[in-house]
Amino acid sequence: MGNDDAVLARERRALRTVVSSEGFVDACALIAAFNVVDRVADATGIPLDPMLYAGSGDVREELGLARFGSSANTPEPG
Amino acid sequence: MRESRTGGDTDEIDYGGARGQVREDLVAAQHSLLDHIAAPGTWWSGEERVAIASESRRAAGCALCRERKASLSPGAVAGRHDGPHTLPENVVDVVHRIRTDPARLSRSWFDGVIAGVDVGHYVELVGVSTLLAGLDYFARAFGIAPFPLPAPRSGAPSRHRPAGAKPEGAWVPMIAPEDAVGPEADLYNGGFVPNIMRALSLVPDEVRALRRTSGAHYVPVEQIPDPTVHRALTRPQMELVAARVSAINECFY
Repeated sequence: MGNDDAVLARERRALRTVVSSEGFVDACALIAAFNVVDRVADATGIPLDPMLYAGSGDVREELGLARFGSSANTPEPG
Repeated sequence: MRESRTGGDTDEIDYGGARGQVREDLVAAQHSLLDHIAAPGTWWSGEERVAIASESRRAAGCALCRERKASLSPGAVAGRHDGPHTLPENVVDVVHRIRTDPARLSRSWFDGVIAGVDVGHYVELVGVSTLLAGLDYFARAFGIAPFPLPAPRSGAPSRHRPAGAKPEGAWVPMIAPEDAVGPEADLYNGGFVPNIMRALSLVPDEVRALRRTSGAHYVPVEQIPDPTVHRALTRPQMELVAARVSAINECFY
């Protein structure tokens, strides 16, 4: 999120305006949730679930996700 | 990030005057997480768990972690983490790495860690340090001070090792859905069980806490596959935030 308090304050105000206070809270909650999920995944070495792997090939390639070190935890099938 | 504070009353979380904006289920989940951190665990005492949480928070401002993060190789930078510490140095280092540089954790790093820390202790440590990270990220995003760390509760760790945990393709043993029986029968609730929910299953109480936090901060696990489930944000907006966070964290999962 960065360390610039002024920038963050401005972005919070902008987000509340665009998605409402309730949506802003949801965004904060999601930031919390996925900072947990990402760390649990990377610290335990879990592979991507086969169902998600099978359905995400195009997206993974387009975004170049194989460059992330934790991609090594999901071996190519076969 | 501010320095850790301890001894807070988890009955009174301070949302900086904006308590009314926060969903009741979210407030309840955050209370529950702080209580969970303070309670005696499976392998660590309440005091040790709060110390782990404190290290997780301190890591966010640790000078050594900052230098390592900027280095091509985290192992190339020697030094001591910002203290004071009450936990062993190797445990402190693990907590700081998970908090500040998770994208560069590797199997070889894990193998080195596990040579000095029992895997049950490790999994519980992952749970505590990451759940606290989530609370800290919520506070930072929301624009309030980090929640005070709770006072540790007394009592002995349960030392419960689930019989169904075994090698399942991750670095740590996990319980497969079909092996979640007996004391672990409540663990997954049937249906789709993503690996992220199995990751901490060597310490089942950490799975229960993760389910609770995920259900309130994202959507309940059993509803994840249903694209119509959403909150005030639309589901595509929710997934965009999730994907952006994971991209910043360089997390493949």
